[in-house]
Amino acid sequence: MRREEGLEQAAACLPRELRIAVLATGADKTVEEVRLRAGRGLFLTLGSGREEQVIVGGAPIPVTGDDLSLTVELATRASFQVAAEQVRRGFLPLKGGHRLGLCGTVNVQGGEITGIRELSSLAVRVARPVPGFGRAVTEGMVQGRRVKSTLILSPPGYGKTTLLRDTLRLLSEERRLRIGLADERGEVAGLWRGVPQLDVGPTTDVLDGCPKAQGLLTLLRGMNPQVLAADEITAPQDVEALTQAANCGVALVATAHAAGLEDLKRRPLYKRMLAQRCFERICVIERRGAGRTCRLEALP
Amino acid sequence: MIQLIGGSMVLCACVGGALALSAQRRRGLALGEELCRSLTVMERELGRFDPETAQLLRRGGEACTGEGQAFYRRVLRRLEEEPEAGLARLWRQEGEALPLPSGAAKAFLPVGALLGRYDALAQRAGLREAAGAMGEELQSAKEEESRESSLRLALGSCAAVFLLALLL
Repeated sequence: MRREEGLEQAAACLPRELRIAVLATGADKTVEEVRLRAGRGLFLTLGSGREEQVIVGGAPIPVTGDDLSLTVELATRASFQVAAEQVRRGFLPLKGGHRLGLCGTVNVQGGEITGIRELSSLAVRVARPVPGFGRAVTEGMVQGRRVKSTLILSPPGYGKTTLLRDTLRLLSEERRLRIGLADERGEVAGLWRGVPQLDVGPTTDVLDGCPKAQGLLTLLRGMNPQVLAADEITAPQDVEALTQAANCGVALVATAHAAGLEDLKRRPLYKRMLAQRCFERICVIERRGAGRTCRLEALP
Repeated sequence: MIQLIGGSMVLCACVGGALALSAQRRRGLALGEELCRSLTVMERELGRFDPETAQLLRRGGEACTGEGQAFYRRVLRRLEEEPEAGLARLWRQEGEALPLPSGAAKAFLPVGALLGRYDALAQRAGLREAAGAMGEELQSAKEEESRESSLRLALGSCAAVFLLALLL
């Protein structure tokens, strides 16, 4: 997908006037997000992280509450009730793997978020796959037909999910392995009407929206995977499910927030996982200037 | 004689006009009742499943005949063809062309701003409220129509008696 195609696809959920302004302003830029703020205007988040207000004819483009409501209506095909669960998670998946983040006054019942009313701002997050990012990891993981269970580590914002997605794509496309992906928040495959909007390979079965721990075991029982994958292992139940899966002889690929192995060892949650030898390899993502590199290490 | 013929013609025109007006009002009332029922059907549907709005509109259309069904079809078609117009505007535009009694129209027209924009619970509450308000408006419109019919009948009878007296 070309850069401008991605922006065009992501901006399809915007009301006409806003869409035209975004496409005209963002055509020659790397736009990562389009932000709509009621009463304050339209902003583009560029690749450098800087926010730029969209100005047409010398005046900022106005954004009203109705614009936000219409954007959500277009994103949900006028069916907010169907997307209620995704709204509780804070974002709506869009065609093409893009996402619409929602902000406003939250409805809470019994301590749980039940919905958002009175929208105040929206963020259209433009998906940008990085094909080839996972090649070094895949080559280090696979030995013949055997895949070594690998845990991808990095601090937030380094591209763990992007690396996981590309690794799964390569394992699927090039090695033809059956992969089961527990995509709890819909960030890896971006399922939209049953079809992954982000390339996770032809042989990857995606379980979307299901808590990871249950999802991993469901996939294990139902889909007979050779590789099980999950993004962001953060709860003891996730670790428990991974341990069970590892004992069943399935290779695992997962991600976790940590700067490296030492950082991981300090976290009580991951101690048991490491002790059980669920993973044989770790892959640490590091920043090198504007780019990223992956360092693969064998676990003792 | 000419005056008599003229008087008869005026009387006939008045009677015809009154009958047409009455028929139009009855048509509006019948349509209002159908649309009110369709709101209840959609509310129930939302309670059972979480259908997409297009499916909900289809179910609403199935609860109607003739003009009501055509209204839902038009809204659905336009929603597919011009989603950027927004359901609220499409619903209002198409609804304004319906011959609903004014009070019932006032309750029915804002429903488009509710459908598909809130969670199922809020939509159900809104639909219930709209159907209730519409039902009340239709009831009072019906009573008014009945009162006016009696008045028209009395006036028509008086005019007929007067004409008959003139003829004799």
